[in-house]
Amino acid sequence: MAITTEELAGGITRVILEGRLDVENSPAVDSSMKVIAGGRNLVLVDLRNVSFLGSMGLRSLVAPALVIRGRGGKMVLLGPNEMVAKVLKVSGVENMIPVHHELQSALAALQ
Amino acid sequence: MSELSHVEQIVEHIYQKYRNIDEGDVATYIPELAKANPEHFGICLVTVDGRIVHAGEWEQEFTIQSICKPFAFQMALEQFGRDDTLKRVGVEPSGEAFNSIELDPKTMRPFNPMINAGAIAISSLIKTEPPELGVQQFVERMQVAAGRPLRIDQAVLASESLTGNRNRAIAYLMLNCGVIDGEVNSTLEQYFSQCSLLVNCQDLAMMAATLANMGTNPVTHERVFDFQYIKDVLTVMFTCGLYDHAGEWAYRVGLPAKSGVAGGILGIVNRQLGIAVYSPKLDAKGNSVRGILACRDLANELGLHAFEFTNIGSNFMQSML
Repeated sequence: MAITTEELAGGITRVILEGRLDVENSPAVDSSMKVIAGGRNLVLVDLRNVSFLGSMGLRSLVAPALVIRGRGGKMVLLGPNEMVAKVLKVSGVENMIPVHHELQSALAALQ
Repeated sequence: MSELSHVEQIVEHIYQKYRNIDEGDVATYIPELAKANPEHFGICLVTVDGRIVHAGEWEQEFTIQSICKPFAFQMALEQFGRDDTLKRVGVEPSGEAFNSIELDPKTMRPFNPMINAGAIAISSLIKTEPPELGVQQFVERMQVAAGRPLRIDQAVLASESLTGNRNRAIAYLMLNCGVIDGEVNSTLEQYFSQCSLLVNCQDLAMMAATLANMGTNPVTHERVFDFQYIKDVLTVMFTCGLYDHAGEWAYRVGLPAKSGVAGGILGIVNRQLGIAVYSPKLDAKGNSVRGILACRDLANELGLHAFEFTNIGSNFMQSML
């Protein structure tokens, strides 16, 4: 699982996740997301190259979202594939973290 | 990729991840069990709509051992009702080992039907005199739940009967306390026979899925169990199914489950899924080492824990909100 971050205009941090967000990989994602959630208020998590989202992986997204939201910031998700979108929907997480399918609308939601 | 393909991939990954774990020991207290191949490791999941996922040696047969206990409890509840069944056995976790020779000092009943004492009390209820008919009724019910003919391993049965002095002692203690009737040999014949039923992972997963599916086999669609007692059975499995590991299991896996000393573990996701894992090497508490690891990963990956944040408490309540 690859995790990269880049700083975008307007104070937005983009986190790009690639691979499977499963039991094996979620601890690494957890610790990276914890650092990001600790210091960034506008976070875009790019899921376009995430092939699988398991229950542990879901926690790795919800935990930082709650921290950021609690501080008055925003976190959005971008571009889940069909499987990932279904997990977000069935779990009710899409109601907690806004899901966008286009980069522009995701960026707009953070501005 | 379909959802089931994702599940297939997860199950295969878990199989590969743990197949070389070599901890634990094969049970030897029933000599015939010591002949099991410690390498064997099988996993099977059956959904309530009848889809089946396998990995490893899922066809390998082994004796059901203590995994017979929830099914015998279900049969006793159906035959005698809650009140009369609970006169013979409690529903409290004992925190004791599976073969504990101890009754609840307040009630003088066994603590619960998942430990040997409680299961023997249940066998006393569902046995017949002579015992052949009661054994046959149990095997027939298990066959319908598994969806295929099953048989008793006569070598294991003989081995259990020959070496089961501790269980004999438990039975006589309960006779002394008035928990069971005087037909102790028939009771033990029923109990040892139940434990010696040969199953494979798919049989167990199908039986688990039958409980999950309100008592109807999800493939044959035959009604097997009365659904109004399944909640009773799942509750006792949740709190007592893994003996003195039950609290740790509820904490880490969070599913009703039952283990057996041959190396099987059966788990249930209510209204959704039956799970079975087989691997004969056991930890010090008598539970399959690879089985516990596999179930933990399944629960974590698939969000199976009863209190996982994604699981909504009551669908019925949802309709009231």
